[in-house]
Amino acid sequence: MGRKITELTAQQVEQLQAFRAEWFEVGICTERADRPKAEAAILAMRDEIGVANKRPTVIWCASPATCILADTLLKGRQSLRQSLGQSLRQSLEQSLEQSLGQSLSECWWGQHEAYWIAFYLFCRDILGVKYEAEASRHLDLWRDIAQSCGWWWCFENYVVVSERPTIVRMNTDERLHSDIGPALAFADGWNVYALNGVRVPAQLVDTPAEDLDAGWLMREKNAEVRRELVRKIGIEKICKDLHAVVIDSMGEYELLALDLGDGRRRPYLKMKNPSIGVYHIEGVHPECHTVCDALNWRNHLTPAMIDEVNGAEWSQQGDVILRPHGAKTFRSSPSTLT
Amino acid sequence: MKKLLPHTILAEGEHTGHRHEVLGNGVALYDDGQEGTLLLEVLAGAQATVVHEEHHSQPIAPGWYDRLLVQEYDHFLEESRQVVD
Repeated sequence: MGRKITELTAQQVEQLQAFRAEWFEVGICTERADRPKAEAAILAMRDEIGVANKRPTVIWCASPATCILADTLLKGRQSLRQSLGQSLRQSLEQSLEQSLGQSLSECWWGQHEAYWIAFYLFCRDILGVKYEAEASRHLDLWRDIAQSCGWWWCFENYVVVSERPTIVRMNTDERLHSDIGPALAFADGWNVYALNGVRVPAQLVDTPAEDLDAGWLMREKNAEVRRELVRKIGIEKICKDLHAVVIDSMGEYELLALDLGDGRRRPYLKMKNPSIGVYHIEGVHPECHTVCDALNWRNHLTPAMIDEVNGAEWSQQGDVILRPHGAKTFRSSPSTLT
Repeated sequence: MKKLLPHTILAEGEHTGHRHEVLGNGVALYDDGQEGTLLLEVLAGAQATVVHEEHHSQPIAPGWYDRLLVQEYDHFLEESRQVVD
């Protein structure tokens, strides 16, 4: 029985930082795939679960999107994902951590599985944790794949494997981000545009801020994309372009009447995200005439439900509200807001 | 009839994958059939925290809670909807 440790030594903390940096680089690596290493590890995994076909056709594609196209063309074959998962990965996880891997989709993520592989590797290779021989052998295979290729799909007679991306750009918080083209791109042209970790249309990245139409803000349904629109265009320009009139203000909040472009003016609440300091603008009900009206309506509170003295306290984190179940009246503001 | 959910994710961002999630032992999340609402249970003695990648964490005391999402108004469609991120 090994000795349980409850904290890392100063030296181990240093090693953790270096190990984390090393494996982060694995996750965002843009070098060409190490095909021999990837294929050897995948074939070894198939051997571990006793797949009869020892010489499957290995199809390399430039991106996960092209892999899916290839997979679609070859559909009808039995995927070995479930068998691989149960035999190789779950055996490792069941002895270490039950919850990982329950929400994966149909493929394996190659380098993008670095986050969990590195966790187990650090415990084994740096801290000296002893795993069962089989689990340790499987971990080596996961390590080799993460270090050598992108996403992959495994079938009885063939394996589809993706090359790694050619571009990965991030902000200082290590979130996908690029304001000069795609944040993630593959050699076949498939790409992802993202600002501060939010997937956005290419148009938002590629169009200079001064040429972006502020009206987009009112048509965009996703709040995170709206946030990035505001961040890029700038709240002042948006208010100017939409002929904003301040109806009411309270602290960081303003109730604006914005021009919808068809002669109508409608109320929108301008507010600042307290955690990240970025402005949001959201439409509120036409009957809202003050910031209080707007906040209450936004938080599902009618005047009859508000009792500042005896009402229940509630909390809010971003767009999520938690209210005591069964309470009939509430304070108008959350006791905790983050 | 409330249905136990296999997770404790209060909301998940479509474009970011970020989650408002309750962490801790003695926590259960239910769908009680009311549109837009989930029911959160934090057992007595449990230590639960709501976490999110971009927001500060919040401890949650034991009890039952309704989870709602803030709403916004679409002036083009002239209808309200839950805020989706």
